[in-house]
Amino acid sequence: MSENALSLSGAEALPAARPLLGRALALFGRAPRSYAVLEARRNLLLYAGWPVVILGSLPLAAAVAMSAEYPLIQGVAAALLGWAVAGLPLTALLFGAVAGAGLRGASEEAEASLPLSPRTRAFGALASAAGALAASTALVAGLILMAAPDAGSLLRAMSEVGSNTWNRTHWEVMFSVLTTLYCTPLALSWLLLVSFGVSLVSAHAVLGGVAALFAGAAALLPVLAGLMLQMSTEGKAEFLFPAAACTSALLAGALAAVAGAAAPALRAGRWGAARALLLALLPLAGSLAAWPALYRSRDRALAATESVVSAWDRSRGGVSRHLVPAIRRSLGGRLVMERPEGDLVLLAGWTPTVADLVWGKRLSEVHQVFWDSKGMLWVEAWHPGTQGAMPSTEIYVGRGDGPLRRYLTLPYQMRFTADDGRACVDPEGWAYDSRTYVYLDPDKPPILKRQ
Amino acid sequence: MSTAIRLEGVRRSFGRREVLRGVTASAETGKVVGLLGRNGEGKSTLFKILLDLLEPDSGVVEVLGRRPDGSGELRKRIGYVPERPVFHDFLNAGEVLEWRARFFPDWDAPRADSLMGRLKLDPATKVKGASKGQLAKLAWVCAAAHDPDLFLLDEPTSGLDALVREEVLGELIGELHSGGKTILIANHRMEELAGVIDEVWVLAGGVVSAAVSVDSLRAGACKVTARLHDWSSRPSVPGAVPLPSERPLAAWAAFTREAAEALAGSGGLDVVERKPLPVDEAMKLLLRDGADV
Repeated sequence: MSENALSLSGAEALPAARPLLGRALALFGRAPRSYAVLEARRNLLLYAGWPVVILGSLPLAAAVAMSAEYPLIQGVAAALLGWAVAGLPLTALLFGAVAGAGLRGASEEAEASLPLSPRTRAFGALASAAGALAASTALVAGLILMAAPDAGSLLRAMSEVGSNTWNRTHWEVMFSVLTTLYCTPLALSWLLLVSFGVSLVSAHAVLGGVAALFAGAAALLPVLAGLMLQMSTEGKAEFLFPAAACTSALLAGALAAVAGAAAPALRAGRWGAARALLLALLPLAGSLAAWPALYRSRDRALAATESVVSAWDRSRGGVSRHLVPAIRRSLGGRLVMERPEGDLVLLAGWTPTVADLVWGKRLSEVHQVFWDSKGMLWVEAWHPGTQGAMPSTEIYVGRGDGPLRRYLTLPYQMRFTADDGRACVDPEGWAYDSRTYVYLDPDKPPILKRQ
Repeated sequence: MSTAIRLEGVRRSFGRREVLRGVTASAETGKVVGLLGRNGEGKSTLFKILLDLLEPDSGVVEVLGRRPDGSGELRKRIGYVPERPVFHDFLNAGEVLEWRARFFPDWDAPRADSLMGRLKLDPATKVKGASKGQLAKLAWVCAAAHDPDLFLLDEPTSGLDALVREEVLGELIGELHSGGKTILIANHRMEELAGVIDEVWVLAGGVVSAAVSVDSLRAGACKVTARLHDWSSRPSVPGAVPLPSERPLAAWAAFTREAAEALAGSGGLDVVERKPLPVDEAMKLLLRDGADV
């Protein structure tokens, strides 16, 4: 019976798609399946030995923990965390590189006379490597579930990656990282695919693996940053799912590019190898879709942390709080005012970059916001110092219809306040007597001495 | 009679190095064609193109009535023996054949067993550590067990001792006797096959410089010895190549009767002797010197 899918009656209804459908279905025929098994046999030592390595690392880690006078279970936890965060991605690189390079060289010669297309060989090798990777991943996930004190909490953690993750148990952290990041069609499949493609084209496993490591890291950077951002902020950044959707949607195309087109391109003459290499790196294009999602996530995180501050009305002395106009303070000391027209005006601060948020850069804080009797808006903000410098308190002033002007860097010991509708500074920092205050005129440079 | 192999202007380069520069030749179904060519002339590249492992840069290639399309389907009807047979070293001979059976719909397991028996190849022989002779025998079984329509044999007896060579060639001749098979064989020791090949292609300079039937070689190839009138203008005719000569006599190898006649009638010489040239000698000269035959 012909392996050709054109024999399927269902294909009769799609005459235009028959050739493509035939080719796609032929990839699952007897010959491709047999080839995948042959590939698994060829790499049996690696694919079957790797789970043994995973299992063997646990007693080793436990022994190291005990020798350092830590509980045995902590050693096991550390080992499993290492596998979840770094070990499995490296496994994907390794399996992809071995599978890709293995299709060239001696294997290519040995299989030259087999009636298999380059596409079938590539898909078979990929399927074999992906199966082995899935087995290793399942093993690590299963070990975590077995070793964790509360397996139910881990399963709940899968749906709750986001706020407060760093406060969770390390079991929950590793499991949520493992299942929501690496087990999605993101890191592992990407790394496997890029590593396979580059190794196939270069016929060099080490080169392919290393190239995939750097290329994959660059492509996954927005995903990893988004995940850390999501885990660092109190509000859910909801980054992961848009990014996953973007990259997953491109994964099928990337798979076709790498195995479906890169392998056959090697048959061609001039520029065949170059074309194959470009195709092998095509999966990285999916990362382009993750970057906009990352910045949207950043904006959502900022919005989630915005809180309304009262702009005190000190115009008549005393203290009277009004929420008009609404002033919002968020991460980074960013101060925005919502005008009655509905638009936002940035008064002070800056928009933190993703790196600022991910790496936990110390951000500015707004302490006071008030209106004086002349209708001027005053803001007191604390800024962390740059490396080696001391933190500082800045005073900003403006009319509230645009960015505020930095008016004064307040000396450390002085206190900023308002008195009788006027902004002023208490040079002593502790007196509450207007006789010692130095009043500030927004239209003149500040003089911080009693005159 | 249909054409099993058709090549028209086939070119193939590797980087800047042009290996095939417009190969044009054809082989009819059922013919045995010997491919002569020095090392590095592109014989293996030509085989890979016929096997649909490489794509030509330009030109037309037709094998068994089909154009190679990269699908590998053609290889179901081709039996290929490479110059250096390579197999997966984690298998033994029997396992190699078992795996191959999964990919060839027309695989004939009893035939494979029979071939193994005739060639005295133990199925338990591990590929890793197998001798050259054992690998050559295994390669032959792999090529023949699915009863292909076309054999592509790239130096099938290269590096083999006399006994193994005889065994492999014996099987080859047996295939010839079964009839209907087209065989393209590259062999340095073409004299071994002089009795069975129908046509010889000479691959030189990236083209098939000569394609001559063995029957015409047998009938017309001769060594022409003549006395030259003027040594400064030695005649040159298509189909003949000069041989080392000692004055006052000059010698040529003429590969066809027509070439010999043309030489005799070219003027400026008096033919002293025309001696038939053995086919194997003629082939050696074709390979060494080429000729526009």
